Amino acid sequence: MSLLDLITGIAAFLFTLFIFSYLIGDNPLFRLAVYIFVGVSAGYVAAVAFRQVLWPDLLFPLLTGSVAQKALLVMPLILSALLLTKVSPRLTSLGMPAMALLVGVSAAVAVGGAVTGTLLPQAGATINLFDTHAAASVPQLAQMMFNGAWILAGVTTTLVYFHFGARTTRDGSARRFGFIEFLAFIGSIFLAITLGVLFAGVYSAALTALIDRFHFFGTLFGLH
Amino acid sequence: MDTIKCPVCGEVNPADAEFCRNCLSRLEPLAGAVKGEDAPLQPGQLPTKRVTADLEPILPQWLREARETARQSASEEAADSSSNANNDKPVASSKPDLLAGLASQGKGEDHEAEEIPDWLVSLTGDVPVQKKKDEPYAGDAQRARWVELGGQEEGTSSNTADAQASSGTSVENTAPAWMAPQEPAPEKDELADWLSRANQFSAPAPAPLPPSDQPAESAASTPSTSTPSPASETPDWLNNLRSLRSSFETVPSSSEEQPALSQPDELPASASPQSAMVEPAEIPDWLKAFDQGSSATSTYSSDMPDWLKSIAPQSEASSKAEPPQTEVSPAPVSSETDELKSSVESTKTPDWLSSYGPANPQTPGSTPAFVDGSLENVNVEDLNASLQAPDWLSGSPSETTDQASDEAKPPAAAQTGEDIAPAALPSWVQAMRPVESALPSSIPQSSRDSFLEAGGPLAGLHGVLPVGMFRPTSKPKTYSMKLNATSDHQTQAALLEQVLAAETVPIPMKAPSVIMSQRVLRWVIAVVMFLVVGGILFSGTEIFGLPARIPNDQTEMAISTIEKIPVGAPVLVVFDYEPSLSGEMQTVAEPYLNRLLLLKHPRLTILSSSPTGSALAESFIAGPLAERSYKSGKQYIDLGYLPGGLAGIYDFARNPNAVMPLDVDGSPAWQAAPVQGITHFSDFASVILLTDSAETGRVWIEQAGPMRGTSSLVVISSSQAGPMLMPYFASGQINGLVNGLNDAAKVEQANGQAGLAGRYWDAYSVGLLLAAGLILLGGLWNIVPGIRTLGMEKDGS
Repeated sequence: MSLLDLITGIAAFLFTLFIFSYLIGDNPLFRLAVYIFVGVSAGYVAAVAFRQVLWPDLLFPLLTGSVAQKALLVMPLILSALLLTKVSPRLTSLGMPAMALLVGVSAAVAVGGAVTGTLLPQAGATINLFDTHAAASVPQLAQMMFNGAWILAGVTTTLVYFHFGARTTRDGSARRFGFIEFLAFIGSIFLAITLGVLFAGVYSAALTALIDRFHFFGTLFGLH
Repeated sequence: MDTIKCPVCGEVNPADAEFCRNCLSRLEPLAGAVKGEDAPLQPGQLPTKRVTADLEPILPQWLREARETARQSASEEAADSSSNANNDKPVASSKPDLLAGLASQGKGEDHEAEEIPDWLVSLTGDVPVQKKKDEPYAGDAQRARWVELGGQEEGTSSNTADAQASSGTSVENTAPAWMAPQEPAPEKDELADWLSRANQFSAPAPAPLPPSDQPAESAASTPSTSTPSPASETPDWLNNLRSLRSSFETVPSSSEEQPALSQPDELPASASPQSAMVEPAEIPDWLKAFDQGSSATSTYSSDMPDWLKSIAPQSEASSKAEPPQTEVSPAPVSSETDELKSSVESTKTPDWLSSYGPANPQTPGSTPAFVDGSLENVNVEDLNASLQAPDWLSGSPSETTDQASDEAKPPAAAQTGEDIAPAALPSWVQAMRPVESALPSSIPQSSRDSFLEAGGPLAGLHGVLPVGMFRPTSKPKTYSMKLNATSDHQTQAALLEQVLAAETVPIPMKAPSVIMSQRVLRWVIAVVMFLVVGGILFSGTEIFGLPARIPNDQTEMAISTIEKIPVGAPVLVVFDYEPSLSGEMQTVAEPYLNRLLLLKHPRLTILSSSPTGSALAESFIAGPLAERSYKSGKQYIDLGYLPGGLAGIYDFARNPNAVMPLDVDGSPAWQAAPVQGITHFSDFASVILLTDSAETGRVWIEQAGPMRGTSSLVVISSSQAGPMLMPYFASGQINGLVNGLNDAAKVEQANGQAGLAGRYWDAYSVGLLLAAGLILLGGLWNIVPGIRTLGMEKDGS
């Protein structure tokens, strides 16, 4: 192990302990580790943005590029300058055009991708579960139908769960129609299972990270 | 020197002058603070009493001359009247100076009398007697003078009586020509028509003389008591004129023993029947004109006012309706006076005519013109029966209703003594009575006329302003202060009070029965977790077996995808995860990438949509993949950070060479060996996405998935993102999925080498069990107190 590895290892160990100290409550060590982490991350992101985006894609072509390149970069330069005005509360309105362009383009791309990349393919996949031509045998067909029924039930009842239309009863409370209420209850079960899976996945990821930290400590201190 | 210009006449005055020296107008308006005598009265301050005569200098020149002339004529008349033996009444002493001056002017100067307008003459009671220069009749002049002065020169009555007794023709000639019946004037006057109609209503038939057994004095007082109110028979404007006329007359000291003595010269016959025998000389000329009937000369027709001209034919017409004996027979002078007397007694005299007489027939202090004891034996009833008054004088509603003929029957309004119907009034007369028309009908006429203005510019005038016009029409509505609440309201109010009172009562919070604080519990759980997971990890145990491989699942499909990649083919590896989850991601991705590098030796192109992705990629290659000895620029190339989020991903998928022309070191990327021959996104043999976020994986699937062509897409995800990416694998949008430590252990099994996943597996498994046990323990901890509470409640019930 080199000296650099030792220093970085000790620093990683200390900062890990500082973060773990949050178990006893908020303390200066935890805040110190957070501040350093945020500062290093911001500095690193700024350096990356300048080194990998601004300089090669904007500043360098403006300085050394041809006239055509420079002309094409005028608009990005103006929009970037306007975006910097968001820093000042008085000039923040000047950055609205750049923000409008970013939001508009992002929204358009997101909607288009969601429709063509998620909505239509997922709906088609749900429908194709009942494609009997895909089944090679009767047991496979039965299995496909069973899986398709479950998935269809899960999708339908989950969508019904998010149907919030209701009627006002005599006592003033709002209730959904009886059949809709039943489907929504089934959908809530599917949602509970899904949320449980997500929680288990989050816990599993955190547990894996903890184990990796323990492994790092063992490696650092030669415990293995 | 400062000057100021008069706003009225334009005269230039000194600046300090208050009034104009030319027209005596105020130079400056009284808008500001007024000083001196003109200053407004302050509270508690009494106004300064001024003599009216002091204000004479401000009168117009013509009015001052008229007043001066009136004073001179009044002094002369006083001197003349003092010579009369029967005149013990002050002559015109109380008459207003203004009117006195006008009267004297009319008397003294004939040419000036012609200049006086008719309306002014009628106001002052001055009858426009045409004095002929060729008729130097003193008695006529005296009578005319009496008419002018309103009958206050009783001293002249004796002289006129003597003069009239001398010649009967002279008496006829001395009658005012304008009083004589005339032919209808070609020019029709609206007022004259109205007056003529009024006469028709009031005198439809000859009225019999009322029986009179009373003495002269009492008979004289009869008209005032038996006749209806004059105000009910005449228009208001005529009443106002009469009241104005009465106000100008002198009110002598009263003496009720001599009511008839106060009668003027033209009315002694009506006051005393005895005097009627010798009345011709005493009857005023204008009254005698009624006796002349149709025989009256028309010489004065041109001098008569138009409105009186219309009366003449009416009177003539009325007289034609009378019996022939009264119309044709030449009545003696005495009968004529009796006729007048009876007319006065029966109060048939129109109001406007009576206004020319003395205001109070019983004016005390005045003596009758003639008191002849020889007339005491005259039978008054016989005289009355033998005489007939003119229709318009004798017409009494009460009498005419009994004796009127069918064709001459008066309207009901005239019979009952009511006012003339408003519809009968001329339009211009109605227009002159806007205030009266607005008066409520409930206000008595007498109260309206009798109201005397006590102050202001209308002081001394009667009935100018309507009485009670501004009286509130309705009583202001009163509101009770008592609360008008029903029993239901009170009940609801009581309920509301109870609710509000309950809101203010604090509800004690039930303290949770915990054995230890949350912080200690957190410490305990942390210590247990550290000890168990760390102990198992460092102990190197293999308690739990590795997960079994399942055919055709997402992991097996990902492994099979590697098999389809040609050797040395370009592969795009995207590092899109955060440094916090680098421990998990490196553990999960290590077996898969080791397998890929080991078997296919692909040319790697590293890209990241996160700024920290490039550093994580370098760390990954230098760490877990260090055994594969991949060098930058030879086996792999790092394109660095891809800005723009999903738009950048979409753009890169469309044209990767244009979007990312340089590598992370700033060198031209697409000329390097790892990316040789790649011009499109589909040129990559496989795309491997390392992500810890389902959102990032979805963006890559949505934006770059349709452009990848036949190349495979494998997602290596964290455990927290795997469940959300599983549907994309089920739909075939991704070719394989390595999700978490579980799938990584499967890949290690496929690789046949022990890796970090296998080393972590026991600790990972114990950690999962520990978490599940803690969750179950916490749930049971919450169930037991609930069951105990239910048992206690059951025991209590």
